[in-house]
Amino acid sequence: MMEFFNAMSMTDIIIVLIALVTGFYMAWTIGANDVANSMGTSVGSGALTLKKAVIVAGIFEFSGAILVGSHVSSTIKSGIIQPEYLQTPEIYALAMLSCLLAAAIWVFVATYFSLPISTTHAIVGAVIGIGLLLSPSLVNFGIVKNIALSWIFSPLLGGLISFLFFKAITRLIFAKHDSIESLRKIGPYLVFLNLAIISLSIFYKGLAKLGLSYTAMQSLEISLLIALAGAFASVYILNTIIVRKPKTDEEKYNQIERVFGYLQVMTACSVAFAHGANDVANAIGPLAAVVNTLRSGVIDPTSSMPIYILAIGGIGIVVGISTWGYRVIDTVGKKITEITPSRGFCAEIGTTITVLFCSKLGLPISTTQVLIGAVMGVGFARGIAAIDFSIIRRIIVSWLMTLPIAAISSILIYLSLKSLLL
Amino acid sequence: MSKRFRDRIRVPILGTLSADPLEKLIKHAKMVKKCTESMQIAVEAYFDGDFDKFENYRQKVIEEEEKADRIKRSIRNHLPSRIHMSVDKSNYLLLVTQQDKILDYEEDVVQWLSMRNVEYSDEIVELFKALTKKSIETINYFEKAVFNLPEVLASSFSDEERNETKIYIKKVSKSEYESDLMEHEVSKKLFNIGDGITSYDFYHLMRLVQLLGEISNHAENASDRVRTLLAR
Repeated sequence: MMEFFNAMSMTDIIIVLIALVTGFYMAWTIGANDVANSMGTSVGSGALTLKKAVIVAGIFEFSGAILVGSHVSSTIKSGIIQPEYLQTPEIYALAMLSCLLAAAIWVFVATYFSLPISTTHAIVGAVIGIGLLLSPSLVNFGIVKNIALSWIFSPLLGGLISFLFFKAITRLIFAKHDSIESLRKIGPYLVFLNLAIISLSIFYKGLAKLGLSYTAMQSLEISLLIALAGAFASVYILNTIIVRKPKTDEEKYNQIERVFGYLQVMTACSVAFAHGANDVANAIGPLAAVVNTLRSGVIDPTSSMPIYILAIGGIGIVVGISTWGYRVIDTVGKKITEITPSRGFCAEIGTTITVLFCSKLGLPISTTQVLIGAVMGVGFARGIAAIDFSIIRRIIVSWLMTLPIAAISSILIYLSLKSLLL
Repeated sequence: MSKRFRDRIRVPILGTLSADPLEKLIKHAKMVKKCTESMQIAVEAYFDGDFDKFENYRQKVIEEEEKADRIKRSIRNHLPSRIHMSVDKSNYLLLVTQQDKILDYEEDVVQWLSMRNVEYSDEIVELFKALTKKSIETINYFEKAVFNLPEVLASSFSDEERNETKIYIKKVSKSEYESDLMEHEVSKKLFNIGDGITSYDFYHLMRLVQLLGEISNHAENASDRVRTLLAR
């Protein structure tokens, strides 16, 4: 332990400790609040028990954070602002700590008032605020513009993909006379597709932390192989789930939804994975910046993400799920019965594709908002009885609030910390 | 951390969903079914000369109509413009209106009967029992069409489910047509029955024919609304 703080001044040690605690709090709150998004529907439909949901959510969030989490983290720690132009490492560390604190406080306040804000927006707003304070020339407006566009683009993309998936499922399964037989045939293709996407995101540049790196071609081959194996396994599994011919129409739809319940467990895990990949960056991006800079004494924006920082993020999320998240999952599961497993499946597959795509591009987006876009996409395909559009207004308001509040409070925190510590 | 704080979750996904309006519609339709059954028992008791039983079921019809009204109001109060539905909203509301009309006329039937208690001749009793049965048949087919709507949605508007509903809608039309013919016949008989009935009786019965006719008319209007809801 003492070795970790080797050659650091007392001030540096204090900064690192505050950063560790705040980063952990951010990861905790991400786990506590957002994990219900992926698991709520599966618990609601009865495909997963609460306990199982908590366990698989923990596993997939953690692996998403560890395997794919570093792309978005680097955007947050050194993509939005260009720290190499800063005078001293201390200023950079302090700036990042202020961002972390500002976002954490705002998230805490928002939770108290039940505001539907996004931790992503909070941290990005905080980083931009600090950048503008230190020197507007530090801010990489090209990347900021891309991030802002991705916030509009990602829910739309999620919505479009889910819309198309639901239309396809309607045509290929529900419209058929023998829907259950069609589902038995189509199911393995859906499994194949989902597994291919997930494993591609893992194998392509995902395992570098474990010392494994594959070329695009190699990762594609491995992914297709895994997906193929999964698809074959699903043929067998679907045969055991689908047992008897339904007598009434109602029984038929119940049985279809039951099968989708199992398929949806897979997409729920994918969303958890994608969420871990994208959102953990909010907590650990600034944390890594603080720790790396102060330990090495130099500002190195290209420095890699140490695996123990990723692990802090992953563990924080898991602790969040198990201390508070499970209650949220329970609540959401009970309230969200309007989304049947087949609808949830489509919304989640659209979310997974969109979020992993953005994560690979290093774009910090809000997983929650992509999922909302996806649910609306299914709604537009007439899959959900009624959708409340007022959520769009509330999200825009939360954007407009979060960005300036996070920016201003990070500036204020930076100024006060600077006068206190430096 | 206080328990109150732990309840303040911020999961905006919950905000995207609104309660299923179709569920309330079905609840209202079930009330129509219940009220129709009570009305049938009331009318039959009346023509059997069992006026105590009639009075009992008349009260039930009034209570059930009132309960259905409350459901109707809640449906109308909970559909602001920010809600997007999987079926056309204005048609959905018109369907509720038509269901409400059915209930109104069912209440009118028992209220009108209760104006005076008369034991009518066997011939008249038979005519009116048959006419009531026809009206109720129309409603029963309509209800089958409505109760199939959740399956239409569950199947995401598959042809199979839509066609099943359409079969019931066709039966409603056929039944309404037959009911029209019967009304005509019964009215004609009432005019030609001669000195057998007083002018009080005549007015009492003539208006009853019209009220029973309105019930099946509105069942048909309602089923037309269901048909429009099915459109893709």
